[in-house]
Amino acid sequence: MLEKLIENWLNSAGERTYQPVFCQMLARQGYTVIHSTRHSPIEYGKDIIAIHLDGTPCAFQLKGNPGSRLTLAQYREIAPQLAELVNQQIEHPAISKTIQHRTFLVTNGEIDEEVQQAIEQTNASNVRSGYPDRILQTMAKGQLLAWAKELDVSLWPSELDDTKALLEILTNSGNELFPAGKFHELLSRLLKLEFGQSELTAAEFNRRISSSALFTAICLTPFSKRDNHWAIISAWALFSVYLIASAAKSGRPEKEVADILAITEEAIFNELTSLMNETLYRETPLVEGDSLSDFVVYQWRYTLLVGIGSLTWMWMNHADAWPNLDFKAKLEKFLPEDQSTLQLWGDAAVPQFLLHIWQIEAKGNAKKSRELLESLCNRCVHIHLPAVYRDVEAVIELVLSETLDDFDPPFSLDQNGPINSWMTKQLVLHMARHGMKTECQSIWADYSKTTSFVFLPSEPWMYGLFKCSHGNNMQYVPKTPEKWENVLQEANANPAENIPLELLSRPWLLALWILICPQRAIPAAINNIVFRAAK
Amino acid sequence: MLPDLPAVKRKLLKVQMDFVQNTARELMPAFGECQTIHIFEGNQQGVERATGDTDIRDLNVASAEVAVAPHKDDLGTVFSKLHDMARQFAEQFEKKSFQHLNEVLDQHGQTADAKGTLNADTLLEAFSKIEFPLGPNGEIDLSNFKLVCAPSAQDRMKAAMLEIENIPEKKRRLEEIMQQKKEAALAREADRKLVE
Repeated sequence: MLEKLIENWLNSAGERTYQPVFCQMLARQGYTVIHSTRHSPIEYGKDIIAIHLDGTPCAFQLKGNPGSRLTLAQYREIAPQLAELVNQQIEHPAISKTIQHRTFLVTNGEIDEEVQQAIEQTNASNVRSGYPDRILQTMAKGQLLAWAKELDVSLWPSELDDTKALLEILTNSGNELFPAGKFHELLSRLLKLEFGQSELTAAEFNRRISSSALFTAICLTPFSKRDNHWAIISAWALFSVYLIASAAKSGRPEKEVADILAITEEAIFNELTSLMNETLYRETPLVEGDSLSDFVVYQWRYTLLVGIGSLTWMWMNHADAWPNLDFKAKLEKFLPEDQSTLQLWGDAAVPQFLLHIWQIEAKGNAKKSRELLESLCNRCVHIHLPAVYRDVEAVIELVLSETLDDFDPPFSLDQNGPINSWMTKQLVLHMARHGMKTECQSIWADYSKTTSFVFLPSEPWMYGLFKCSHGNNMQYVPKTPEKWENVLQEANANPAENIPLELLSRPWLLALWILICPQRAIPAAINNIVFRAAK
Repeated sequence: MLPDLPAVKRKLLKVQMDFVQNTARELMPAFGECQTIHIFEGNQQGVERATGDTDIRDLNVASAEVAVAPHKDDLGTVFSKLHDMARQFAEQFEKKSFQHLNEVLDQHGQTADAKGTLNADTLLEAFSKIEFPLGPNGEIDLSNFKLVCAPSAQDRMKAAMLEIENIPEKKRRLEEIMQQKKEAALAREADRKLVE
């Protein structure tokens, strides 16, 4: 069944979808991947550049032919690109210009006989012209399937409940949010992330990384078919964070995960670009799916897209990697100047608001960002919001149940009594970190009447899990009176006590993590997502 | 397996579990109306109080057992058994909660030792240790105040309260205590600030 799953995945994946896994396959075959394209103007002309075990640089051009064949007509369209691939030197700082590279055309489909003949003729022509090394080689579905099977699918969770969970993911309609909870159960077992399990050896760790990359790609099959960018982003972000968690748990050094994290970073960046492209260049309003009932989710969708768009802006700005100036202008126009149009549906929406606030600050409007931060903190201190663990669908059902008998309230929200919040402490500490003393003093009386909750996993590596079996649900009752210096001290506490260093050093991934898993938006995370100022 | 109808049973099971939960709360007059917080993960619960001290404990497991005979039981019988299940949960929860309360209150000097005698004086001493909140009108808010005692002590508790009400000296003492509590509450409200 697993082999059939892999084949099914290969038959449905576009080139961007199978690219991260193909990089893992190369790594498993002994290649060192040094570049995986962002499909930006600067591509070095190749999708993937890698160095073979024997030291020879290799360039790979990937094509997506899911469930089909690379035809002669398609080949002729890309022939000039392929000629470039073969004849031009690889321009990359890590590649010596004196070594002739090998070039590969890779497809996840079959290659028509006529295409093979055309390639052979081109190669023969190069040989006759005195360039015997300028040969185009091909890799098709069969080879990819064989390489994929070598990625240790035997390690995949195989108990009956796991198979059921996997099938539930694979039979998802693909247009829903990525099922992070189910994915967590399966990936935790694959990466041996259960509490009390022994550390992984280097060899086993590497095997499990490769295997889980393929596993993630396969779980994305129904979502990739629907171009569900946010689901794809969520899955690869989860995979990346779990990888960091696994490395931290087993004490594996940073370099063992650096390559694959760079590859998944590319995949995530590409999908963020695609998602924002779709958002910014739509001619119709931001409606998706059935429009008659869309009103109930529209505000949520818009707020989430503002959060994601803000993250995208900060990342592209930090990396100076804008697709083009028109995209930048449209994104800046899309992101609102204030938060009056955003929906604070629960504690879980707070990270989306924060990302927007940080984007406004990064753009140079520190005053506005502080006003919005203060306003957000005020709201959280005065309004009973659904707890951070309540997902948006449950919250929407709760609201609908107040009016429509056919909806049962999935949980109860106590609108009386003191405010309990999973976000107020981090917002107050964040204001303190920004030196907002007056604002903190102004809010302190009301804040002191609330109880703040923060979940602290037992060990730092467990921070990278969607759900933890071991950890402390801390309640904090603010002191009265409290000294400003104490608040400042707490705001500047060492974050590495609670968050793996590898995650702290990747602000874009940490920001995605708190978007996807808002219960992990603990004070240390909020205070340490730092996109450094633009160059 | 034998033929089954899991979908309708799942719906009913939810109703049954809600019944157990709601009934357990009703059976705990001391705790049933308290605000509840749902815990989603982890194995511990902690609190850092305004005084700065911290208390971290493992989560406790409460369990209950009832026997059902599906071939004989009807709806009324099953719900009667669920009521018994709720009673078991309520007893375990109350026992653990009072135990925890006693430990914490003892630690912080918040207990009045009746030394086997529950009378007006011991009741007044207990009142002197309670922190009362202020209502929106600036007066002590007793809307959520409950006196909880063991069933065997109810008569003595009532007698003690009557004693306070009817003996002027004791009534005056209660008024003094409540005035002190009001001043303390006002001072606490004034202290809700972030200082240099």
